[in-house]
Amino acid sequence: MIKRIVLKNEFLSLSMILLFGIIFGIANPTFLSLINILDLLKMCVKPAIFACGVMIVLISGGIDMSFLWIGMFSAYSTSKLFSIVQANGTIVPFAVILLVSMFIGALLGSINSLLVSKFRIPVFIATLSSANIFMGIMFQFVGSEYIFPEQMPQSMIEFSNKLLFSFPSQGGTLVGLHVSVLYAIAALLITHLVMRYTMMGRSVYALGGDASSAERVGFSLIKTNLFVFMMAGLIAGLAGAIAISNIQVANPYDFQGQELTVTAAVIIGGTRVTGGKGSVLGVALGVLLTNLISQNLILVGVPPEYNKFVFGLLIIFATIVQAVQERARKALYRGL
Amino acid sequence: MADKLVELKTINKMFSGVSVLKNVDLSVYAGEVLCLVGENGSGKSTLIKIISGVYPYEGGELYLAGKHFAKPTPTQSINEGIQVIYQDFSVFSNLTVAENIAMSSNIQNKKKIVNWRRNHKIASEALKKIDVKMDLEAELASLSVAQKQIVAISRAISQKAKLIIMDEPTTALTRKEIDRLFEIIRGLKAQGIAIIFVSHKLDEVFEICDRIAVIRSGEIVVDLPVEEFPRDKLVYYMIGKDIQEECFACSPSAENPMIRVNNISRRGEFRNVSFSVRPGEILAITGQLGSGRTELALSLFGINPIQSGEIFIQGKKVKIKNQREARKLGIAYLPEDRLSEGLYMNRSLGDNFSSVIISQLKNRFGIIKNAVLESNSNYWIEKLGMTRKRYTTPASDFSGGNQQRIVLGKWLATSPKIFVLNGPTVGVDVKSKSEIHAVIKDLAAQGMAVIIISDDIGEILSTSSKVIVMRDHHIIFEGNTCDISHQELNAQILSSQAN
Amino acid sequence: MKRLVVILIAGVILLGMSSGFAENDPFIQDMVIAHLPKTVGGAWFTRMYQGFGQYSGMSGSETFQIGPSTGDAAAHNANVQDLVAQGVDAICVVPYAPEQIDAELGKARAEGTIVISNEGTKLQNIDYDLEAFDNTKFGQGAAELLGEGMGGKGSIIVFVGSLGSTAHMSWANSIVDTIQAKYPDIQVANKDGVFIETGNNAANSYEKAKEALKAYPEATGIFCPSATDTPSIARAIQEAGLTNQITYVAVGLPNAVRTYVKSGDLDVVVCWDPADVGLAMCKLAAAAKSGYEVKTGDDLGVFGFNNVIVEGKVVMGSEWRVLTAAEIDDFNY
Repeated sequence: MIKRIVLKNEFLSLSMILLFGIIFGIANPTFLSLINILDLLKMCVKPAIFACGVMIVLISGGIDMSFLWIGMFSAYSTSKLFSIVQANGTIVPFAVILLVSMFIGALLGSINSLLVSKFRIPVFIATLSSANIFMGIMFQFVGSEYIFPEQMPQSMIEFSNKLLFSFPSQGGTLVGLHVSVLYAIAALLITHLVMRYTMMGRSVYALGGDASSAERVGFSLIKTNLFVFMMAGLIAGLAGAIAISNIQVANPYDFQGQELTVTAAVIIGGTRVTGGKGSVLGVALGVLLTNLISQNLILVGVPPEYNKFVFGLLIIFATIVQAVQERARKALYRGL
Repeated sequence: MADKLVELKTINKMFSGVSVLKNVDLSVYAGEVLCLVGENGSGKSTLIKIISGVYPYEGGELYLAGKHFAKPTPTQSINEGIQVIYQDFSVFSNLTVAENIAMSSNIQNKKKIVNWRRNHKIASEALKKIDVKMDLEAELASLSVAQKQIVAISRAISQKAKLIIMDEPTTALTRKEIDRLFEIIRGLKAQGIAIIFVSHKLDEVFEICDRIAVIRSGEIVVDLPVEEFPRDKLVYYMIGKDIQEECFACSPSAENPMIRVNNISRRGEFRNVSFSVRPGEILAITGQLGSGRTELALSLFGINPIQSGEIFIQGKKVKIKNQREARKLGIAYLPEDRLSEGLYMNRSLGDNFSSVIISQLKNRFGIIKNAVLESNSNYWIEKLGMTRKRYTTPASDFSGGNQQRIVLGKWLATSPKIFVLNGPTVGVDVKSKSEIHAVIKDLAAQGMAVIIISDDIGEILSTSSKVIVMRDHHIIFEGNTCDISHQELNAQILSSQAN
Repeated sequence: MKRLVVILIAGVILLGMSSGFAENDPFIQDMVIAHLPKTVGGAWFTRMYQGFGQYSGMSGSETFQIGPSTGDAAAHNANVQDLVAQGVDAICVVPYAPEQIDAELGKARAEGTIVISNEGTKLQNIDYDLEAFDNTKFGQGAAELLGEGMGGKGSIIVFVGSLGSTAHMSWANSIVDTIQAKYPDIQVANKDGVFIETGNNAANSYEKAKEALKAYPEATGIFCPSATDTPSIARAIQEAGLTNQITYVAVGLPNAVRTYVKSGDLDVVVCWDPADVGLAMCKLAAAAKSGYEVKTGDDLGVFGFNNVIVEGKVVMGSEWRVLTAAEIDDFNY
């Protein structure tokens, strides 16, 4: 029984988090300060929400390359729309902004689904191309210039300044848990519930496990596919809107090139690249682990020019440990 | 007479102008085991798919549970209690036993929310019906083929199946597992559930069935209760001609053994095994699963090196420490699970044929020309009597029998001196089987020493000259196949079971 | 009716004369000029293109913008080919990867196309390269702003947008050199003097800035050369409650940083108007067309370029704008 727990991927991620936590804490005690931990949680918000969508697509057996552009498209268009609305004197509540961004995301996701199930394009290729299409459409028809803090919808700026359990720090400013952390936790929780307790969610696992069997037991692959990509798009829309609010500026290029960092976190969290397996808890831990490493290298004194190198090494290390553990797990089950 | 679950009346089916089913009449009654026997391509899969609503039929009438269906859908067929267990079982290896069993009934009942406690209940009830205990939380990937099959059967039961169609259910099972499956089938029968059992294995057909229907070229040629069925005529009905089962008298082309093993052992797997095979001889090694026969074969090929004893090849003492050395010594091995061990399923026929001899095909620049690949492949395609296919066709597109031939070809391309075949005709239909046997005999006649690992008594008697029976990791019987009858050999193998 | 025709003809003649006059000014020529920035879209290059618009108004030239939407050296080369095929008179390019586009620009010049570059001092196949100012001098200027703001003591954190950016690195190096020479009581906090990379990315720079402020709590001065990253760092300073402790000098666009300049998080913005650079590039193109050779001391008639320094093909401006809360509202770009 203990062996089974030890061999769980979540246990491994958690131990690695503790391991790196201790090493970093020794290297620089500031790492363990409450402020740093609160910052770390806030920095995990964007990758954690995006990761939910990435995980769903991975479980279904594909790799999504479009989620960041869907996120940017949705969030940028939404903030642009409401900045114009605001300039005309109407203030829109944050919930409306989120819902509109999520709606746009889901819409774009359904285009991915169309490419994948109707035209039978492999997910990787389909999403890689759609990412470019979304980007092009956005630059051509929505815009490509920055949206500055003073133009941004007020509710987004308010959101970015909202803290929970805040207390004054030494410097006199308020320190606390950023409200977006709760949104991330909610997104993770809802994704967990949907994937674990709905037949739709289970059909994604079935699809990722064996597509033809899934069809034979009576799942509609078209429906499942639509669900996968609409969910992924919706989540990306949410992540994008929250990320843009948090940095108070909409820069269309801001998410560029982060596909693999998020995907790596999801995979390190135990989601199987070939589909069929993955848990939200694992993904949350994977995001925490990768961000813990990447966001603290300066703090622990790794010279900036080595940051990427060291981050890459640590990711490889984490993945190797995982592979070894996977082998041990298989051996254990075979022994049973 | 019991209830008619399925009734087909003069059913016809065409595929792009080719008639695959011709005026098929067939009925299935509650609580009976019907065997549907036929070669590959005889139309049995089509027939199953019509009953299960996957294919529409063109002429005739179909009744499920007494109701006429002009265009049945899979859902309708399932609602009438018809369940098909395909060869791959359609189970999900990434999910748990409980979820696999309960999934279909959740779909059938249009559930939107998953209740895990209910899943467990469904699963344990279904398993109880067939009297099997299993860890409901185990992931299917960690289970054996036989256990996966039980999961598939339980899933069918959980959907209130009245008729379960099993497509070649014994292909990947050991004798012990087959016995267990038969017990389960008898149990289901007692509960009034009908079974259509599709099989190639003639012994099993007579062992489990109440009625046998033989389909050939899309027609039911005979449909009789098992008591009235002429046993010796079954093969004739299937392929329309007789295949003789007679012992194989070999003519070794040399007196000195090609391979001789002396007292070889490997801890926990086999001990003190000695035998020799001369060029032109075919030695069969048989015994229960776990008797050590497969482990022995793997040792000869260097996968599990021996720990004591000696191996001589052409009189010279050799050490076989790994596969590469075995290959260099002229030993080839045809694995048991051809799908997982022997073939690159996604790669083409040509690539598969060339994979083992790739270093011989490349030119001095290390480049392999397509023309060389093609000529190499075409040579073996013809040699193995395969329907002429393009060498670019992926291996996964071939039927079981042809896949086995591809693996054969792959190894024959190395021109081995010693060929070890583990279950060479598992999952292969009767006609292909006899063709593969002919190829093996031909190889021996050319001076190869052949070792077959098999539990098919007919195969052993008709293809090999000597037989060794193993039990509990050592040899308990050794003899010439011409000196032993079907029953006697069976008794030898069963004697081990008694222990 | 007749009068109308006369007026029209007179107008046309007058127009012709005025353009005739223009031909006498080597910096004003009627031509077709293409603007080929690193990427289209984005505040910086959009603003730069406005300088082309101004030039078009002055000279009657036709100007247009073309370019890839993301950084892509191959697409950049293809754009050059297209422009040559269209037969434009001049290409004003901001190269994404100078060493990769140079050969293609050579072909363009062989076809008679004028090539003017910005941030392309390494290019061989150009008529002129325009630089807003000398990088070392710019760094010195920024260092002095920091030194004065910090009262000559404390320690600084130096960021760069990317460790591979020539301009950012030379400014940063020049800052460190100047500080060490002129302000012995100011330390460089960055470990081993290696600059922290912010990635030209708002979110990333915000996170890096927060981390750096925790890693170097003793810092009292910050410099950021990446206009994209400047506001996020200001925000990190604000959130850390260090608005009054830290002197923050950075490169930025007035519109993007206005809030932070007013709140005091960003003390000084050093900037130059990309539109001025655009206009100056057009003028160099005109000089090349008219055959006029630009010399040190020439006045291009654009702010920052009233007294240019010419070294080989590189034409350098000599001034940049230094904006504080008092001046920021006078600038809108």
